[in-house]
Amino acid sequence: MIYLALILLLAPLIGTLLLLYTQNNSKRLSIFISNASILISFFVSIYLLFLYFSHNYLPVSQDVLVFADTKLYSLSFGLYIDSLSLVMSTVVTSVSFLVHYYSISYMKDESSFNRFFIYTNFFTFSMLLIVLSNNFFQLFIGWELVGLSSYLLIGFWTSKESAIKANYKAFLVNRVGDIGLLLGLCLVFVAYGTTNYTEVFNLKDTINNSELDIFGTSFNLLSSICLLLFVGAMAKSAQVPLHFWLPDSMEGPTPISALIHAATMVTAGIYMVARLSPLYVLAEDVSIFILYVGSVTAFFLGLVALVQNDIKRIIAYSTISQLGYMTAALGASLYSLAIFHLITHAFFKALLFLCAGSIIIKCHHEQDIRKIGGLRKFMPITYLAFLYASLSLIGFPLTSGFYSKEVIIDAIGYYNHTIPYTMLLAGIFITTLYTSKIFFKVFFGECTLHDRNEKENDKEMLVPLFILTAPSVFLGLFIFDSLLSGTLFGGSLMSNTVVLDFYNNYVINSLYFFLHSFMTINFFILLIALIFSYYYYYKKSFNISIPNFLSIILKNEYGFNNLSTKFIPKFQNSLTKYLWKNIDILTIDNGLINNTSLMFDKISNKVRKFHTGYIYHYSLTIISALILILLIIRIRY
Amino acid sequence: MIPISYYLILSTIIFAISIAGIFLNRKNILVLLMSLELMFLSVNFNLITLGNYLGDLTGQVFVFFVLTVVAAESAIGLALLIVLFRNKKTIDVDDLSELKG
Repeated sequence: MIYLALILLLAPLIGTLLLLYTQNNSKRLSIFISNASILISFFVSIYLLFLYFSHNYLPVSQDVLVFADTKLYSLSFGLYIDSLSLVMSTVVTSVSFLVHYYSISYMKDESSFNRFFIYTNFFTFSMLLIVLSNNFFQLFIGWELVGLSSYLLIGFWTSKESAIKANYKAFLVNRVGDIGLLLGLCLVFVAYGTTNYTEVFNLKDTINNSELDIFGTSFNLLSSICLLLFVGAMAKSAQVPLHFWLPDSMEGPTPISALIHAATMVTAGIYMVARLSPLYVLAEDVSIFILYVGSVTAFFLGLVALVQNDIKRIIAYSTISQLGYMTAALGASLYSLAIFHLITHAFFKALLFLCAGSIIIKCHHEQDIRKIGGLRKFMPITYLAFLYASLSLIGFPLTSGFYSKEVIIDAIGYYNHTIPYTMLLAGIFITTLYTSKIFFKVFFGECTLHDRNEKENDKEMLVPLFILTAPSVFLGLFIFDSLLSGTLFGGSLMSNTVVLDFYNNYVINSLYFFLHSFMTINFFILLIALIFSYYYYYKKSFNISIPNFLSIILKNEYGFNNLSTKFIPKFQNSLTKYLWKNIDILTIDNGLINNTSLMFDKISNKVRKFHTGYIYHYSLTIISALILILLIIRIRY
Repeated sequence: MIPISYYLILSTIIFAISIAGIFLNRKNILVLLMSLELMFLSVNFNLITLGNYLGDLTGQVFVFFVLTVVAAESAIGLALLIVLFRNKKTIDVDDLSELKG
């Protein structure tokens, strides 16, 4: 089993290395190597998942390779195989494969076609490294590698200035999070003396109440660890206030947005918190913080999507908002539900992005939805795929998104977290609005673009849409029962007995849940939103003017962009200028270095005078010194 | 019998004169060499006096060695003086201050 998992992990890496050697060869070879390596990974992953559930294996954590073994610490490379990591790696490899396949057609006119596949293969490897790692150190390495490949892929079009700025931004913002992650990692090591997951989980009760002293203030050690690690997750999973890199990262090619910035990399933070759930369960204060961060993200950044006009930016904000739902679920200690939403979201959001990619290609890289319109006639298949993905996103009953989102919202409501609950409910309304905004504008109405291609896309681009539609719509129905009864993540995540209690009265399986949902407030909000957006966006029967200050705030995206691109650099510039002038030049250069030499110059100029060169002065000195010494000796003895 | 202190005082006076010659002489290197000779003489004088006083011949014999060394030294000193004069056209002590900082 461990060897199979190694194949799963290493196939994309070997693919990357082969691609590096053959990057000057034909496109066909590149396509073959990259797709085949991911496909191998995918099949192995499916097989392992099947094996794991059919034989009821226990979670395995095994070190494969030990890099360094000192008495203090052993640095090893190891794999952790349980249902969580296998499910996650299946999601990663399947989405990755479909995106690879889609990219064959999407990127076919690019000059650096082969480079693209090197990056994506490398990304898949790094993501699997995070998913399958069995210690914090390996997690950190994978974390940095996905950051690197994300950086490379956002800036894939190196001649596009905005792309370069965007990848720079993504990298820097992630760096802020990495500091948190790294500090958390150090604290874990200090507290437990090991970084292996299983060993840490076994030791977790020993430090539960121990305190950490920093500058005289004491903190709860476990809470500090969880908080610092969550800062890393906040940057990676685009949570307020470290979210603003994600909309800009849409400068990259669209398949990349689907793979990295919707389905896999941005969910790494969610995955990490779920993986470390034994620690987070104990840190209740941090959990509340996570809950609020998540719900604020879900609501307020959904609002921003309403005023955006770039199709990819809208979907990006929608991704942030959905990640907010997952984070809120993590904060309410509903780890398996968060992972459930992660899985369904990966599929339907990847589908949405791939559809957006098709639309963008069709309209010759026009992304402004005000200019696109009436595509339903030309692209029936994309239209249907987009429709299903949208239904899943807004949580229309029976779709995947419905199961995963409803259950999170219901459970948070059941736990009496009133403010987050309200925000998440309002989130449903907003999600519906912005989704229908894209949907109606792009597929209905009139098109103002004249040079568009009036044919459906290649079949390489359509097949992934077909395939992704299936999990986007039916996956929730399929795994909902096993999830709630705890068989899916039983061994690795905390079971949700309380949620079960809540539903047990009337919900026995997914079908009952479906019927029950018609009587909940969620459904009414959805219904109102649908009717509203039908009349507002489709019929255009009335017009709403948003108050001016509100639209300014939303268009500025709460000022995070200005903060990061104007105020922080300005502040940094003035600070560094101050430091340069006062500390570096004045104190160090002039004060310490030049003053030292000046002082020596002055002293030696004075001492020089004694050195006259006259023999009689020297001899006088010698003899008077001799006399002095003799006198001293005389007095002493 | 002249007491030994007289000899020693004389020797000290000669020594002091020679030192003063070195310090105070601002004109001529030749005078400087002569002062050195005088200094050696005072030392020799001391050696003879004390050797006689202690009845030890070693001190008096040692004087001969010292005299030889002094002769050699003054020969070298004079030779250097000539070379110096050839190069600098002067033997003025005040002009010979090149070794200053």
